[in-house]
Amino acid sequence: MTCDTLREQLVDYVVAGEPADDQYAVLRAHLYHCVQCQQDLNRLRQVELALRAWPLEEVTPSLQLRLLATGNRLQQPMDLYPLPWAIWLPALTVLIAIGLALFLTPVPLSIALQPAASPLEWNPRALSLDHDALQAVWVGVSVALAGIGVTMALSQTEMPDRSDMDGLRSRATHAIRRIWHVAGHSR
Amino acid sequence: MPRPSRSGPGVSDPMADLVARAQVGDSDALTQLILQTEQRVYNLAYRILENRQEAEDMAQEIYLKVWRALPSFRGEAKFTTWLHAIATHASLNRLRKLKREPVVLADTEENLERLLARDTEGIGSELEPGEKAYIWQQVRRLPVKYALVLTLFYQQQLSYEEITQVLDLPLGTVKAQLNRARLALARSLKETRTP
Repeated sequence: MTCDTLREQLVDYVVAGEPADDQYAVLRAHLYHCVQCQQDLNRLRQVELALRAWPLEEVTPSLQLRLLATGNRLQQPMDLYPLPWAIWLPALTVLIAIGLALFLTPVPLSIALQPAASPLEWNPRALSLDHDALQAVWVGVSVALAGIGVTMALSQTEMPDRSDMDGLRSRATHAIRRIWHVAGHSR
Repeated sequence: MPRPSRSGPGVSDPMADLVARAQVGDSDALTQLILQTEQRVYNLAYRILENRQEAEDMAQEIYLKVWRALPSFRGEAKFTTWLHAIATHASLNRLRKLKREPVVLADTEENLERLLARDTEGIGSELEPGEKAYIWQQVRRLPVKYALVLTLFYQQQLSYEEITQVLDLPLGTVKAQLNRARLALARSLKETRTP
């Protein structure tokens, strides 16, 4: 066994509190005659002692007041909490894009809303070429907007973390429950 | 009504009762949760951001995030592990924004000994290598991922398994980073100066 191969075990040995079990018998035998590893052992002991005594900074009274005030905000309606803009701005952009694609295409409303007797009866040639071209432009603009939204989300330095997503999920659940509650009362 | 927290299989959480009360809006339980965790949250933010004012602002933001996400906490991990995960990732996000560069937590090879060499800038000359304060100061010179695992293990007193949950890293990576940091700190105590 060389010093290099025993080094990892030496760290584990010190962290474990230098136990006398057989697991470290080879290491102890090596330590007995290796001055270099004995020095490493002493330094690792110093490091371990220092890190175990590493003190925590005190929380100042003013910070404590600020932190306690965050608890009071929980009593307010959830809707007052602003979502991070990394979530709502791209979502809004995508929604606008979908809205544009759905409502601004130049298909005449009467055609769009008219239910076809059979899907086979709908004839896209009924639309003029100009309409098709404009439709393509609108869809292109909408896709571009959606792309901008997604890019903004991805290029954020501060991405939403797990707690933001948890918050979003709990808010959505809260909203669905409220709708369910209102719907239940109205029946 | 939010689902009361319950510990997942094999997870015994001494704060489960307080968390369950906080989830249904008990303000006393919230206060207790803050008082019992504030020092660890603040210190974790401080270790990552290395600035008291930033750490104070961060601690406040962390608790707002925690309260916002509390209704969805289901007790699959201990509350403190979940809190540490939120605190760590929020602080790292802030650090990325401040430094305008990525902070990599995954395992990479660095020459830690060179970073900790006594002749490089930033080490207090008034401290001797044998002093504990010297070692604490040396930790601040390590890349953030090493300082982070050290603070999670020693200051925050999390187990290896809890650290893997907080950092979302494999157990082997966490242990390797801890051991590499310990060895580098030990070697920095050598009396000989590194050229």
